[in-house]
Amino acid sequence: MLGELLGHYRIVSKVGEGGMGVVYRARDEVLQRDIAIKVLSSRTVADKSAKEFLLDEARAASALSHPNICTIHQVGETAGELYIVMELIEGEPLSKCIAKGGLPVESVLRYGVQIAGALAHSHGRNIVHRDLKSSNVMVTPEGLVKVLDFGLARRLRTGILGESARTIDSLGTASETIVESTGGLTGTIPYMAPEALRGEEADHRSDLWALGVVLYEAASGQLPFRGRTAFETSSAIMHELAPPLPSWIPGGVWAIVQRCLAKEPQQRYQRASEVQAALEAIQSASVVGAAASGEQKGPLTIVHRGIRHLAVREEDVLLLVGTMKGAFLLRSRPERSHWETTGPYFHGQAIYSMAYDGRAGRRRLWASTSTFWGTLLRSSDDFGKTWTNPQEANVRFPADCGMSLKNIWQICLGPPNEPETMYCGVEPAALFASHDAGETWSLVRGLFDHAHRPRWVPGNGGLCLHTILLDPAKSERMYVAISSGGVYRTEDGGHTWEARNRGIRVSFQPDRYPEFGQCVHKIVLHPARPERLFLQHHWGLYRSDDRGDSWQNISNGVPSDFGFAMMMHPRDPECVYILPIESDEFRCTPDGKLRVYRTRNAGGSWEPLTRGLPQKRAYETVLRDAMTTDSLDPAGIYFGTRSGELFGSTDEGKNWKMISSGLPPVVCVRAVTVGEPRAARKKIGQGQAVRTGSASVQEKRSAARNKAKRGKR
Amino acid sequence: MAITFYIPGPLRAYSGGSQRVEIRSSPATLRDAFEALCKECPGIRDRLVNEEGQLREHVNIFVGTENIRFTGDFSTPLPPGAEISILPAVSGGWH
Repeated sequence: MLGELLGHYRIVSKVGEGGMGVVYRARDEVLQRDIAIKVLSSRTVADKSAKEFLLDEARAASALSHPNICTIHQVGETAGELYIVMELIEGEPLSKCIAKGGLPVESVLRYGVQIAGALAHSHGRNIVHRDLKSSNVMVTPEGLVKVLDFGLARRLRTGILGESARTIDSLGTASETIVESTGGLTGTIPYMAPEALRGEEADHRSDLWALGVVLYEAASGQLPFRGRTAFETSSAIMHELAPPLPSWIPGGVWAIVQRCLAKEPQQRYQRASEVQAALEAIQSASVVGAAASGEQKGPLTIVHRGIRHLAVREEDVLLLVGTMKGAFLLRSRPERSHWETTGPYFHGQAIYSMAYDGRAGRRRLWASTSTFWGTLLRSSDDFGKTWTNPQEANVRFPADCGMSLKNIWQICLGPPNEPETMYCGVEPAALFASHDAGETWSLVRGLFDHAHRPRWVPGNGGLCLHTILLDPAKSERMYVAISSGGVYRTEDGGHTWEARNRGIRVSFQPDRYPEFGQCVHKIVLHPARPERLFLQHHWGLYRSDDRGDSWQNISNGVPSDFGFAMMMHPRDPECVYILPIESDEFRCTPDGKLRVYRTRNAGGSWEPLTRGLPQKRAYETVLRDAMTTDSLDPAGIYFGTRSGELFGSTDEGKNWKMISSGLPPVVCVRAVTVGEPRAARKKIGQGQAVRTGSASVQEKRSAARNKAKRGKR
Repeated sequence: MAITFYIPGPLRAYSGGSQRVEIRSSPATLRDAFEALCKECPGIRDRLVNEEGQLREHVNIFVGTENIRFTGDFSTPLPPGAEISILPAVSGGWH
């Protein structure tokens, strides 16, 4: 073909060959310039309609004009062969530039910003690339990026890839066939988004997935999802988490990659321009950092060595257990029959609060750590291997407040539509907010400046703001609970707050129904019925049907209406769980029986749930955040005790088993489902708490009791 | 004459692993020495003092063998060549 004329283009030399066809360097004899011509192989364009479609796509793509997109000058046909005339780019594909250990971070950011810019431009014109990969990105000697082959993959997908897509549908039985039938396509599968592998309609967010893969590859030199066969690779894409990027890559880059690689498109960035902006933000921060590099830095992260970390998979259920002497992580498959335990993280430190942020594609654990060296909020994006180690206390009272942070009692995520918002409740009682996903925190002045604050008094646990509830129906409405201050509600996003304690009786003041000063231990609400709240008071169980304006006692038939823990069923807005404690003087379960109580009629009546729980000499205490539920169906219920025992039920409380014993005193328990839970959860382990006979529970307990007595919290 | 800080194990992550940090600027008071230490070991400040600048409740600093809580806190004057120890207090870890 060399020397031949194709239209008015004279073929000069062959530049490369790929799955789509052969690329030549050619001379435009009219405009007297060098261009590239891609001649598509007859295999690529199988039939007439495929040809028409490809021509349409190429014509649309030729309308794109962006410095980071390879310009298409013309599409044509000669002697039955389709060809595309495009800008000639001197340079190398990104795939070739990527060294074994990855590119320098500066290059990753520089190229990433340009690729994201190219995608933003094309997505704005309704053109989805569909085959973004490092070999489709050219890098010029000046460092300019040019993305190739916009939109051209579409017809190819249904033409060539149709075969592999079908095979992938039957992955379970034909893995060997795949390798053969996919042929040259195995190189593309590693960039395909889960929805594309499932055969669903891929949209611009599938390009953002591919961008995440390219960024990961550029940063580390490795693909995030690998396998020996197409089957293994596809399976990894759909079910596994990408291994963390090496530690020298800034955490911000990893966070961006993770968000691009969220399995569900709605969990990813929704626009390429967002990725571009996020990369640019790190770029400018790195430039600032480089300028100040003479400054000595302390360790910004800590790595927990000597702990066998969890290998977390999609759909795993995790329990985050904060204790007085460190954090523990437990992992189980959705059946929840076997738990793998690891820890203690933050050996010797009190972990008052833990949380999991799965919004916006994150997989971030949060923990508040407290020791006599201070209290910090820390996060981990790799399920506990490394944690942030803020140089300065990240939650701190401003200088004019005249007070210092003691503890962080609650970490609370903002609403789903504000994925960068977080709150935390602290001791001395105050609320802090973050609007950058926990990077920086500021005091919520509206509550701090409340006229009541100087008259709040500490309870036994200190003067703490321990509970934060958001109203899903109205983002400006929030509730906080303070011991001892009571319930406060804002209707304007935290600017102003009103005490909401009418009807809650106190036994420790001459005025039995004060406006505020109640020692509220816990409040809960159900998102499906946010106007209704339930409340565990120092003495008394209450319900409000009017957003806290008034409260009615619902202590109907419980052995004691004293207690700390209270928890909402994940789906049933009538169903609440509590764990009664005998009294404020004797803070143990009544009659030495460990009993969870449940109401299924919003407090009209309560029933004990005891099967599998010790009913003799079980003088236990369960603290306010030490009971939780998962989001599966049937719901898993979990609680931990001051004596370090952890119990769980996989059938909503009907049957219990001991999950762990011998832990330090448990302060908080949180359950996490990693990724999106499957809808058909009912089939798994329905009603089957894995039975541990009560005898063996007793055995475990007696072993646990041999531990030294612990002090009071 | 230089003064020396002795850094306890949990805080050596901020002193590059060193048990001793020397301050060569001959500070006159503990406050001056502490500021110099914080410059030398970023991250150590918030582990030792709270937002109000007070020494944390369960942390003690000794100049020689004297607990600074009884000698004027951070205003404690430093003799030439002072040796300053940072130690967790025995009252820590009551839980």
